[in-house]
Amino acid sequence: MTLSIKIGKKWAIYSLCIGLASMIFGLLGLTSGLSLAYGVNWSEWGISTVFVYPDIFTGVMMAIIGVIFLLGVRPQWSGKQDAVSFLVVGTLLSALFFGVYLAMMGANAIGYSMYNAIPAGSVYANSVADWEGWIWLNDVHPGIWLFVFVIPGLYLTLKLWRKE
Amino acid sequence: MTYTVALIGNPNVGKSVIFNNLVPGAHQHVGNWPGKTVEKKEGKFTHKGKQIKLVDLPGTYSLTAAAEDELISRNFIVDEKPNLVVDIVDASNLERNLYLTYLLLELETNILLVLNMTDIAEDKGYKIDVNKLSFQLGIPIISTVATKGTGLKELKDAILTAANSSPQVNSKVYYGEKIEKLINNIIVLLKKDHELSQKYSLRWLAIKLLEKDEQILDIIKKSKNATELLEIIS
Amino acid sequence: MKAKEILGEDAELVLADARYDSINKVVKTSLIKGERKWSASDLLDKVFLNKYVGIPAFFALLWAVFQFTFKVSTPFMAMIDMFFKWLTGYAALIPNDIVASVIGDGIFGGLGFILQFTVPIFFLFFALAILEDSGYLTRVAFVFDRLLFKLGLHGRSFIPMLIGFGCNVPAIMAARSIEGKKDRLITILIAPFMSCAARLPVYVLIAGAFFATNAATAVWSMYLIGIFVAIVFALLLRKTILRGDPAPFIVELPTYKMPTLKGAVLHMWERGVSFLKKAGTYLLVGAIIIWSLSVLPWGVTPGSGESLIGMIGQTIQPVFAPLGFSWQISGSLIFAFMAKEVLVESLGVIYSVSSDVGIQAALVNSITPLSAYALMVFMLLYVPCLATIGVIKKETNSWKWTAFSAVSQCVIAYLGALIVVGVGTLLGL
Repeated sequence: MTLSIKIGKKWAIYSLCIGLASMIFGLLGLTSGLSLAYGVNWSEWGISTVFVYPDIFTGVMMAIIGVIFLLGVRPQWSGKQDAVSFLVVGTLLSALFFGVYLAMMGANAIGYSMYNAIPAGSVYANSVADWEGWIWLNDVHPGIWLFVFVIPGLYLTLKLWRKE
Repeated sequence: MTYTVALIGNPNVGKSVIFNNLVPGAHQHVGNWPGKTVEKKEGKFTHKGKQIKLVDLPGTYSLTAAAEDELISRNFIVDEKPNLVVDIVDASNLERNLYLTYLLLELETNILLVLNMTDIAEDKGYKIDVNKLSFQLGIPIISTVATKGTGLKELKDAILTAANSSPQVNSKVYYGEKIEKLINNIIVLLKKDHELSQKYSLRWLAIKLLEKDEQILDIIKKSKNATELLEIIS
Repeated sequence: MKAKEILGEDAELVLADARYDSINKVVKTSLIKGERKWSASDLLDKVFLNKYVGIPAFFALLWAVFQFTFKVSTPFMAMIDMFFKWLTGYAALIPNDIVASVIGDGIFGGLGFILQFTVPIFFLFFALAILEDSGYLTRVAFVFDRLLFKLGLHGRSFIPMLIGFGCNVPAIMAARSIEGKKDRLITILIAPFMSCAARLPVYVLIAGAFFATNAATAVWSMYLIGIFVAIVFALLLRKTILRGDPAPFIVELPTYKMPTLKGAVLHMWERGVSFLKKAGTYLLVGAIIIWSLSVLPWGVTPGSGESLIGMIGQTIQPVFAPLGFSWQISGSLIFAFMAKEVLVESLGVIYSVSSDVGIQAALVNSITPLSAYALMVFMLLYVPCLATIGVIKKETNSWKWTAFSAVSQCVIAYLGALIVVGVGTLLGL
């Protein structure tokens, strides 16, 4: 099929970088999540959760997105136009997850403000106990900030969308 | 007078968009449960002083008795005998969509074909000669792009005009000499049952019998020439 | 002249072919196909239907949906929780202590606990609506079809089953889109095993009481067990009373469409409100019945063994003795027949305690963890609610199958719980 924009080596390299980054952070998160289940605490190594988020599923999802980007690298390098689909879907999924992560952070923020508003001994304290000690940094992880690097992909997607 | 008009078409051809455009939400009366296959959705609208009751039939690919939603659509057309059936067709998928159209033609009901999603057809590089198509099918056709609002005003006019005319029965599928003879033999037998002749198109009944359609078989079993008919089709 | 000679075995196919021949002739003269420009749908499908990455992509989306549904709804659930706690405060003003407790804690507490879950339910329906409207779910059905075929299920069963995780009633209705009668019947019969949203509060209550840190796993296991039982039941049905292969899955993949916010919200609203209405009705009716049964005969200690509800429970208890259920639980199970959420209410009243924490404490004191897990399994597997039975009757149009469905579920539930207790006891748990 013919596309109105050239997909070539530049985008292939981009896909490679994003894909690898996603895979790496995903796998790191996955393994640290697993090891946590066995009692090994990564934060003892001084690595903040912002970079290595110790949750199995979050890690798996990032790895999956990484795979999607990586699958597109070779066909994009050889100039196959329809390989842009990997880039587009990877971007869309990243954007979707970004949205969900932000929503989760927002929800926690709401919960935290409720926690602050309720005096310690009241009947209602129980309902908001979960948010004790929450700070927004708790919810920041590669799924969120890697999205910044996905923005070029988003730009390409929008450009293609407009041409449709 | 109030015209009863049914809306039918394959799933995902833009039927809902068109329905919502013809009948704004406030005037709609929706059935109980949501999900992909919905009970009929109805609504009324007025155009040029005439009142039109619009019934949204479930989106289907065919009209067999095997599938619940297809049976609902079919029964509505046969039992309620609407003044017009508006068949919404996806212009970018003509062959598949026309199958339903041909089934409707067999029902000998009044049809207006709406060629929707012509923008997508264009994207695919298709060019459709609407006049030729209309002539060959023997039914009026109007083009629309429902999502962009194109052709929807003309649609209301077309609906009124078509609802006022009588069904054209020129376009029939020719099944081949042997099968046509079989069909005619069956029609001869069916003619003897006056009730059936009044209610149904006999050619349609004959074809359904050949297909061993469950619902039609049930109906025939109660008719006069049941045994002979069953003999022929077995 | 016999039809078979002319049309052969499959008359429908012959006639359909003839129609397509006509169509092709007509289309040839009126349609010209030019060169194809790329289409967005095809591009997206390259990934979503990709044999390596299609299914992982689906799981990624599914996970995103669940994260969104459950994590983002927590503060709103807390708000509802606090609202009912506030209401309970007012109930405490009722002069009669015991009645106050029954109403305030038993009923408001139970209601509050359940109604919290309407938030994630609405979120879930919203997410499902978006996935459905975009056309993506058809792809998933297609991707899973091969797998489902091996399990004796039709590819089109996928969407109804997925909807079943939200609520079984629309799931059973969605089975209408399945053409084969047997395929449809099987889908309808196994849909109740998809653990619906109404069962969730019950799991949370029980698992929270008994399994502490492993509570989430216990709840997860319910979903998995539900799927497992559904598959086994389907296979069984295929081999015995509903023989035959599933019909081939031919579907037209619609072009992807950008779901509209309005459309999604509308769908969510329709489904969510129906669910609420149904749940609300049963909860209210259930509350009234349970409350009346617990304070009659007049003057008895509410909810105790001498009240009507207590007597019912104690009469039934022997049936459930092998499972280790107390009479209070046995009695409550009868009421939970109406709707699973009602279990929480009735436990609250029977144990005469306040809020979920109270019920949990009472439970811990009356049954073992093993029986608690068995109870969860029982709740998972037996009749979801009266509304489900009603809709099965409507969709199958047969009392026979409806009764079969209800009875088989009760039997399977009992067996399931029994197996849990049996295996657990053998393992010394």
